[in-house]
Amino acid sequence: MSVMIGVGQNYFRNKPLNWLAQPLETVSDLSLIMEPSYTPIIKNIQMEMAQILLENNIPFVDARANEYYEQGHIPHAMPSDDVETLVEKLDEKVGLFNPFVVYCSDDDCGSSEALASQLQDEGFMNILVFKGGWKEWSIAKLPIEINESE
Amino acid sequence: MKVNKYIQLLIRLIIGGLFIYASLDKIENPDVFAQQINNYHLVPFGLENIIAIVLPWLEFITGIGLIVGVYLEASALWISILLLSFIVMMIQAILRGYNIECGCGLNEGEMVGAKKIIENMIILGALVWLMIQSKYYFTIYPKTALEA
Repeated sequence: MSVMIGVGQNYFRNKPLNWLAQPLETVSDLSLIMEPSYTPIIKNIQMEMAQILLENNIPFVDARANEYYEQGHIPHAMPSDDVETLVEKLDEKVGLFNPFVVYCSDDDCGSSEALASQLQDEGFMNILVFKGGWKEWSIAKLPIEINESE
Repeated sequence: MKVNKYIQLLIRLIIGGLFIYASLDKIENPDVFAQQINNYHLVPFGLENIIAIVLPWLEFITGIGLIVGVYLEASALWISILLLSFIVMMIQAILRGYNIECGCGLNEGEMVGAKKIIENMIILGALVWLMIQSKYYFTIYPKTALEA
């Protein structure tokens, strides 16, 4: 019964979930990333691209719990403990169609993809996930920022 | 055994209610739930999506079954199987050093840890107690032989 109801409900959803999960496509072309997107996409980026995007003032969102955010995060990254506030800030900073980056602890954490999916439901079209996340960034000794969430 | 009768009912209401409540957010956001399943790195071939579509309904239906007393034993057995799977998944995640959200559907942002495992074990214990009872009360269908 659960199978029938679940499958039926998914079939009639506005945005049905694929029956099988697909891995995120990795994008490495800066010009493609910087273009606004008018269709909803979530793509993966590597660390080198994350660095370039930070230099280009693309906003970053930290999907980790606030206690980890306060211990250190990628410079200027926004916390995600209050999603409503985050949505307002993102809307103000990038609008719905321009890119921003979401990251979490490392490529095992998955909360970056979960948050990306949630933000996509809020209408954001152009979301990049930095899978290596905080672990890869801090191991590479790239700049970090330590402050309390605003 | 009047006390036993009401303990049974209380256990059914609490556990059934918990499972129904936990299923609602997952039913509404299967994509987030699929991601949470994926975080455990246990499910192959992208099957987390189909699990995320079906499993919350199983939780919902068995929760209802437990509360209203329809296929009570089967509902309790299904919930026990689910709980046992959750416990195994959480233990392996801890052993593999994953610091991930449990995806339990009760409190947002709740992480996998010993506390969640103990909670699940207590619920499982209560269900096992329920299932070994010789007589069930307040059932709609099927009526147990003793009650009919």
